[in-house]
Amino acid sequence: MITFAKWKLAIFGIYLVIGAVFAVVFLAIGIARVDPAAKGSPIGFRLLIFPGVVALWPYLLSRWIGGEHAPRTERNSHRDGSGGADQ
Amino acid sequence: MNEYKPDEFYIGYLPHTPSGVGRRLRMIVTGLLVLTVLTAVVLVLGQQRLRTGIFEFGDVRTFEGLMLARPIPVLLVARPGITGKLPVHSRYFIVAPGKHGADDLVGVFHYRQVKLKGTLVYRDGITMIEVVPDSIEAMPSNETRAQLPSIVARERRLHGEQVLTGEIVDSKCYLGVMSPGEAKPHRDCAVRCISGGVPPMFVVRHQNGERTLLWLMDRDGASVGNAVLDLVAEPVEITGEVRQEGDELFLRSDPKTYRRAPQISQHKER
Amino acid sequence: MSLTYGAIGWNRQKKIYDLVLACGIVLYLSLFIGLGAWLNPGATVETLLIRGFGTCALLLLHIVLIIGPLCRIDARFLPLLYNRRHLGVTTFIMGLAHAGLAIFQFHALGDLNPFVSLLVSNTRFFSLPDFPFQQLGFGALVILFLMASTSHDFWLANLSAPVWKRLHMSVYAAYALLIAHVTLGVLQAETNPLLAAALGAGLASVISLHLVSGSREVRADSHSSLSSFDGAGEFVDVCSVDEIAEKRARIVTLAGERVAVFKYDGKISVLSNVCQHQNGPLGEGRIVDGCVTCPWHGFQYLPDSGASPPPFIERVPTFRVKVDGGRVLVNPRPLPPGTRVEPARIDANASG
Repeated sequence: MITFAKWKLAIFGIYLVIGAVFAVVFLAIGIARVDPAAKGSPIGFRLLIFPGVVALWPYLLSRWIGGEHAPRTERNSHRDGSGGADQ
Repeated sequence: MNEYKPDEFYIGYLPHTPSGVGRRLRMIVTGLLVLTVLTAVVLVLGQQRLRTGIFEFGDVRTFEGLMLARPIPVLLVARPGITGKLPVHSRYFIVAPGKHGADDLVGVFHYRQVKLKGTLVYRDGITMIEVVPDSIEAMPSNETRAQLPSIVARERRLHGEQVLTGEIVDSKCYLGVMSPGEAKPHRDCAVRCISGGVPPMFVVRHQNGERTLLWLMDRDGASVGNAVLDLVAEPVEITGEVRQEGDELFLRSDPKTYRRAPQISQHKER
Repeated sequence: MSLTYGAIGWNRQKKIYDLVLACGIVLYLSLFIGLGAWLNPGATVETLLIRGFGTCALLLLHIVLIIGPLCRIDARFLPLLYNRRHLGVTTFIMGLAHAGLAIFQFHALGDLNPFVSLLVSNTRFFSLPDFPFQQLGFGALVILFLMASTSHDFWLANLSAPVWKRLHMSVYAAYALLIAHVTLGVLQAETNPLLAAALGAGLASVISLHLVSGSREVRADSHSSLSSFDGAGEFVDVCSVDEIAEKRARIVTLAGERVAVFKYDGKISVLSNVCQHQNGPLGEGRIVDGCVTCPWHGFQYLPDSGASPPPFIERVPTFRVKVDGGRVLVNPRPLPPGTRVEPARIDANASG
């Protein structure tokens, strides 16, 4: 029981450590590549989203590696029905 | 939306709120603040009044007496003057800081006169010392040690086999380090403390509101320690032999025979 | 909304909101702790703080949860919605203070790592009265953390509004976990019916307000849902011009989603009802300075093109519209977001 709990916590801890390391790099370089609106944004903004980057790093990493250069636009039946593309 | 002028429209980033919206908003906020006050008052009034155990946090005193490291670490301090019907010694149970028992700290001083520093914890006539580690020093022996076996034998009372229902707590928190130091919310802490060597105690609640506290021992007179972890903070029924030494009660029973009780029934008589 | 992100976009209204929030929290905590210490001198400071922060977080969560349905029922509550994020983040901070103190108090300074202790100290998962309630609270805190840490508009844009909203809908899971945390935790020891009644009242108000606002939505949608097509072409008769107030809209369901039919300056324009920011209901907004303005956070769109005025970049789909004999006819095929559509003129078509 205790060993199992220690394993769970260790995995959780490793996830967060990777997230923290990733967050530092992402907030310094990556963020402007996945969202142009973040280009030149103040340090306060970057600190504010730091915890979220630590928690959701796999998603942002996939966006960064996948070369998506802007946030995805949302989908709903009107946007899909219109062909989806922005004018 | 009937009382709300149709042309009024709240936009958060504009500096001023339309007057009608603003008036309504002030009423809503006042309502929420009243709700806040009411909630605080109701929740405070609804809570049980807590019994007062005392932990003299920050007040370190020096004690001298005969150390008995087993089965439960206790310091026997001779009462001054003629004690009459009172036991010859005051008993100060010894625990370590944090959620730890003092067995490791006092083991080498078993049956020796010592001086130590610590902080008092007391409730319902039971007193405990949270000892400052490394403050224990051996002192020259005095006559207490020689007289002890006869004193203990004289002060021992046997109350026979009894069936008691109550709650297992960790003695340190229950006696005053935490308030409340019992029941469900405190369960994990009690588990941690007992697991760390703090001696477990059995609290029997009586109908008249009084409580009896018994130290839990196995049939051989050793502390039950970790064997009770799974039953902490739940209604438990224990059948065992109750014996008294000085002012203290001990309940001797095999921990394997402890049973979960449907609920904590209150004992009519002590 | 803007072209670059800032840290916290405080404005006058948000400052007032946060000030009132801070005063409310100080009021609650000082009353709870002050009155508690006075009536209950046996309680330790740690106990008062743990209980104070925990109950404060739960009270705030109730307010967070009822703002949504209250705004659906009565638009006068909308100013509470405007800065609800700060309320949510504050709820998380109160919960974190509660959890941090409780983990220290009950699990630290022992023979195990406090977090391991949290997981293993109580394993009575199959007993209701003895259930390890602390793990339920921890689960709720993790959800509140995910919501608080993704509350910035950066996340709204990068996760996209529907994903972000789905993530933030997990607040209901957190709420359920917390109700169980309290019921299986402190209420097992504190048996005064007053406390159970207070929790019950909170739960009842959250559930009933959601049921009322939900049933209203369903009724409104079933009234406005259009299935009959105009026989002459692909245009659908959605309503009469007179049913729409000036500078306001009527909401009807078309092509699987709601559309907002706006009337302004003798013209009619039709937009998708879903604001690109947080999916607020544009049709419940109004035309301000020539722009359709969302009632939730004031995001604006030009009525003829569905595009935010520069420098903003949000766009919503638009619909072709005409007015015939005082009836508004809409083509149900959505046009790509930001497509300009000539507004239908009311006077030109009034006669024929």
